[in-house]
Amino acid sequence: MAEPKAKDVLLDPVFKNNPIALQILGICSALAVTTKLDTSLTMCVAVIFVVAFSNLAVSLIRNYIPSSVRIIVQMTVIASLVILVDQVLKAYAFDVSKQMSVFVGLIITNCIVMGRAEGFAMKNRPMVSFLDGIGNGLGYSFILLIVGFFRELFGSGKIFGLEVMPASYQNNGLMLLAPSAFFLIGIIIWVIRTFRPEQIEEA
Amino acid sequence: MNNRDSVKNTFLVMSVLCIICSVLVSGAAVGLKSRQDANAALDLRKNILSVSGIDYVDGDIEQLFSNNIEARLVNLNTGSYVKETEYSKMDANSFDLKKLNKKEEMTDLKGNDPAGIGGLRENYAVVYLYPEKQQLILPVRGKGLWSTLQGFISVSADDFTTRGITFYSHKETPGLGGEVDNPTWKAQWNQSKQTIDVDGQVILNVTKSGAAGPNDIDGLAGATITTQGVDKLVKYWLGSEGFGVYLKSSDKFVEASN
Repeated sequence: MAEPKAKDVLLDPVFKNNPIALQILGICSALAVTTKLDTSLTMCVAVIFVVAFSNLAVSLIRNYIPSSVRIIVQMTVIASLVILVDQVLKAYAFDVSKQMSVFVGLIITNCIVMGRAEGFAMKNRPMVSFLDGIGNGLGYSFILLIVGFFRELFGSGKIFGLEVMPASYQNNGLMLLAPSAFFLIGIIIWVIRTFRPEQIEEA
Repeated sequence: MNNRDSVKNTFLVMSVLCIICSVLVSGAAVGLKSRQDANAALDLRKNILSVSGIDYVDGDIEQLFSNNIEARLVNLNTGSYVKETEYSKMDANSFDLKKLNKKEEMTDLKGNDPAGIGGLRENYAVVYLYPEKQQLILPVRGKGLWSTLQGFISVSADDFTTRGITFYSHKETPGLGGEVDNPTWKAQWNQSKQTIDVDGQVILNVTKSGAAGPNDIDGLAGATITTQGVDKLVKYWLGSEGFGVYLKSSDKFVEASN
């Protein structure tokens, strides 16, 4: 198998092979933390960190991992990194971490992280795996930030907590509920596939 | 290749990995603990300010807190403030529920534990006073669906009507039981609902079917167990087993005379 190019592994997951829009992974947290942009952004940074470093760590030890316990090894690495992130957030961003409640811990079960560790890092060298992690984190972040932007804008009339809509704007409560994230992700997938028809699945 | 999948290697890899990961995790937990504790203490003060109805912005919390709020240690059995001569192990600032002696400083509820606080109730508790508005801020806790809800309820010292509620720690389902944090729901508690009658009976209800009576708080839709939990913990802590004796005592706002 040819070594993937650094630029491709970094940028492909953003549009061409987006983990949320094409692979439809990691939807749960995309619904839960996107009511506001600051929680979305924190989640993005946390996921980029976890997926990049879990890819790096798994790739570094890939030649030593016994195949019978490889999933457990990956879970151990991922869980440790997530706890690390959770502890750091509690120490340096307490309010945000409180709002995100269980969803930081749920990064452990985010299919993107596990999927990249098993599907990419087990077969590739550390540096390129690390970049692949960052790339997939960015792809996830790209969707999360769009969803977060529209939900906060129309749901609360704010951007990053700052009032931007005119005072007469009536907040759309639906945007603060989970279903609105489904609508937005659906629209994003529609737009992406309009410009990239090769992503449309055969009926 | 064969060697990699051997039993010996499997155990070796897992052991080394577990040790590295546990060092990493525990290192982070220990190293960041002091900062996290400071954040938790600040968060507690924010909760006390918000349940008192004091507007705050980050930065002047310590100032507002020390200007407006007084902490006092109460003996729940006698309902009076604890004097240093009577009990000197802790004061209101150093009070720590976890450090209480289970036999001597807590009361065994003997199975009568409606709020679900683990069968033991402390004999001492820290209450916060807001003299300007004659408000009492009482610590409450009780079991919800997944977790123990910990928070404060604020009542007027004159007529025992509610002034606010807040939960600073819980692990209820986000969007359902987690809506105890929803400002709209909490606002119901600001509306001066009567908590206890003249006999000290708790007449406040957190109901499932909407706030029908004048002393009803509308529960949380989709969160029956959490709603029941809040109902029970409020009834317990405001009742005679909790702060009931203290609420009926007089001179709550006189200066502590040690």
